[in-house]
Amino acid sequence: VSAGRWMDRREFLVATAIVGGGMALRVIGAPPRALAKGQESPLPINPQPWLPPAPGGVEVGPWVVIGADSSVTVRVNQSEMGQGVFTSNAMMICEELDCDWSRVRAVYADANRSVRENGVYGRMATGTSASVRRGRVLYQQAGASARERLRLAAAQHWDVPPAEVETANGVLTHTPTRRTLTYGEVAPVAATIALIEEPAIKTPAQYKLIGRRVRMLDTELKVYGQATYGIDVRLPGMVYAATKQPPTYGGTLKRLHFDAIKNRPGVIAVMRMDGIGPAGGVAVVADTWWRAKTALDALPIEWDSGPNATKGSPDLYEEFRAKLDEPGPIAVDQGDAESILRSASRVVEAVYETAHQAHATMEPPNCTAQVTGDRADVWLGVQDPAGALNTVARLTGLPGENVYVHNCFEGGGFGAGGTRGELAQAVVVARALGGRPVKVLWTREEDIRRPNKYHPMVSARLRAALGPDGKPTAIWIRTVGNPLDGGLTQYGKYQATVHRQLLRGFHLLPYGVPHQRVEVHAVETWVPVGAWRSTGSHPNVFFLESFVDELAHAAGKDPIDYRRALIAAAAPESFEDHAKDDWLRTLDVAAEKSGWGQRLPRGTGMGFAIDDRKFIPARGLAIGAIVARVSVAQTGTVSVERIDIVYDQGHALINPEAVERQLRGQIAWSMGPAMTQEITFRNGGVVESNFHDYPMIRLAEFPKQVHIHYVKTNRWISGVGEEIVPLVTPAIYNAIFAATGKRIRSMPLRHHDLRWS
Amino acid sequence: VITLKVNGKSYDLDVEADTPLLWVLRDTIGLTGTKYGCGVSECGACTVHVDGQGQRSCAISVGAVAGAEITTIEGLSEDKTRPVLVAWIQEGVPQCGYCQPGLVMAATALLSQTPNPTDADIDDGITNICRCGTYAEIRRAIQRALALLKGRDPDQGGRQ
Repeated sequence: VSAGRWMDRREFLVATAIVGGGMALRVIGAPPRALAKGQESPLPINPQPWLPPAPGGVEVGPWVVIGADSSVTVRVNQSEMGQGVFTSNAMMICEELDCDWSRVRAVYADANRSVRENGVYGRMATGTSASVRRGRVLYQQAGASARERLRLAAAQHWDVPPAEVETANGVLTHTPTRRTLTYGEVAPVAATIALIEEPAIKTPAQYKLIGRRVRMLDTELKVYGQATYGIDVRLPGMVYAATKQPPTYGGTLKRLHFDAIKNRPGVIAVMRMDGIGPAGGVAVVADTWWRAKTALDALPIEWDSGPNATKGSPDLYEEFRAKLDEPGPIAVDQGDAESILRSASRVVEAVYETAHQAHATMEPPNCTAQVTGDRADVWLGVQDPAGALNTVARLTGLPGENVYVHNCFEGGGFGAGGTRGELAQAVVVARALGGRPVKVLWTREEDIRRPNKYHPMVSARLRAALGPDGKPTAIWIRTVGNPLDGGLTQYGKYQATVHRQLLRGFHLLPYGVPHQRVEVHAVETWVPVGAWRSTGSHPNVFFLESFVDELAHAAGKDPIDYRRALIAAAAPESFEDHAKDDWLRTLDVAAEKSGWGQRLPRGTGMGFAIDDRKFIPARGLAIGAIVARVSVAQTGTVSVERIDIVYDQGHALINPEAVERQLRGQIAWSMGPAMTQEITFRNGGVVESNFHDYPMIRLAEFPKQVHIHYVKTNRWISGVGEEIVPLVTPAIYNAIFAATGKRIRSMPLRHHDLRWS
Repeated sequence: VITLKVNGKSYDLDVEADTPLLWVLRDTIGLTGTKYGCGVSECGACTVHVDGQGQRSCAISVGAVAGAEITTIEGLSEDKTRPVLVAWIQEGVPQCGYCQPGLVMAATALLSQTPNPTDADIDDGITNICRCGTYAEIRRAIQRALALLKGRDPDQGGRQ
């Protein structure tokens, strides 16, 4: 990918011509144009992304606005969290619209309009890597529809058959006479045309824009510090609130002593938040946030510490381990795994555990709200603006038509952005302030200790019986986890009630084992849990890909060769979407490209992991594999030297630059829990509080070499936002085993002594 | 009243002297490009230049920098031609983008203090946190900025 350069917007036409001529594409982005003093930067997205980047224009369908100058503004119904939806969703429309990419702009679709117009913007929640999976046909169709209407408008203008009108780069041409009209010229008429039949959309072989390397439309805004995140919203007369929830889970606010702080500079009010937000607590309102925050720090508060005041992480682990000894709901029962294991001469058994994790998005939770008698406005970066609108309507009693969610840039999502306590806090405080806007902002400490939800801990016991050839004859898995966001389903031949995220991946093992049994316990604890980038795949792929590695070593086989044999032996029905051959090809590409099998210095090893993100019910696949090359110093310090990622290219990737940024970034996300991060509980509360004790991966720890390789497959992949996350830990830990002979069965690494001599 | 000099402009401010510079920049002056990430000098999202040195503005009281020349992301380069900015855009570093102004300020400070940094200098000098994990792009952008500063073609060699 070293030659992976992208299209500069102004160079797109040139590059298209070059590619059309069959030459290799290597286009270098030109330097950004220097701005004259005082000149407005002509950027394609408004710094306030809920507002259009330029005024005016004519709407040709709800998704496309065409300016008199033939510029195109695309409305995007997914939230930009860094995955590039402002760009990739615009690309999907422009692929069909035949417009000039250098004049394409984007703006958020409006949740309020969607309420007023019968859900015109469809599903606005962003998550499960689904922006392209759910949006591609919709966006292509919207672009094709607008293009057809423009064509019909031009045909009407010239009084010619529509078939004689061609579209390209925002220009309509009457082919017999070479007369031309611009999109801007015919847009007002096109807007009045209704199609009797929707035009067909392009197939991947016809794509010209999709699949090109395109720089994200919001790059300049973000580099210049101009992008407006929720935390950056400023309104006339706005005041600020700092909030604090009870320090223990299950705790409540007893009493507070406002007199102690009411004369501090700038302090306006204190409010009890009973029943509001994730867990109630208190809000202090002041004229600046710093004054609100320091006043809250100084406020004497009496808490009722609640029923969990003596509980901590050891209790949670003890409860889960005890449950591992109890039979659980049986999701998979093939053959007779238990009796095979009882009579087997060789059995491998291991217990694996994962810890709770926080999202810790770089932008701390915040929300700005203004509530008057008949209208509510909120400003925040949110993964689900339509859901936020409903929450505000419920809290204020206002009809949804009177609620406006101004979706801002969002400083990271990662699954944190669905249900938001900060939103509820802001609306309740704003309502009490009677029309005065207020910004609620959490401290990082509040975000680490009292977030809306954590990634749940999971414990699992795995057993396998090995036959004389070293291959498993039976596998038995029992897992215990805290269920999140509902997610219960009836599964398997006994229709057992199991949690889908806890079962994920174990329901269709890719490895051919004749006797299989999987039991899944869901244990509700007092810790609030929910989605977190890759969710159930994160623990389960760690368990399975580590355990298979254990089996390979027990059998004395190379871990990739061993997997290849087991995949080859698996029934075709063990793979969704006829993917067995794709799994084998992915594995082979990983071995070849990573230099698997080479001689390595002492203390250095390579580890492998593979998965396809299958879910229950099936919603598509994206096969990924990682090879990690890791060195372990004699002091026990681990360095991840190189990561090779093999990824499912499917029919097409919309913007490979966005895809590769997602893939590389997930290495850092997942190395956090693998190396250092862990949320622990003591006395009913959380021990960690900020980045010094919940440490993030930084530049120095990030592997110096990351290589991305693709496997072309015959499917639309399920996504790219989280698929690498589950593979990182098992690949690194398997590499550590190869380097040191030490098997790591729990995160994070800092709990394990890896010194050697 | 505290007088603060930010991006070449003077501000007379009615704030407590122990207020962190970050909050004065963001909430009192309205320069929101400088971000709050941790408040304890860990993440670097609030990095600004104080008399040319990279500093974490969440951990400096406004009273301590009265009279100093403070530069924020908004004032780094009026015409946006500064090599670090250009390199950051050409490499397309940002994902969610929240930490990027702090990274740009940290990288600018590093390259002005250490004109010929080694890989280790860069690892030691850029300790900002990026939760999206844009670290590969950050390394490339710093190398590109170095090439631009030295008048080399940034697309010839030096890329991993």
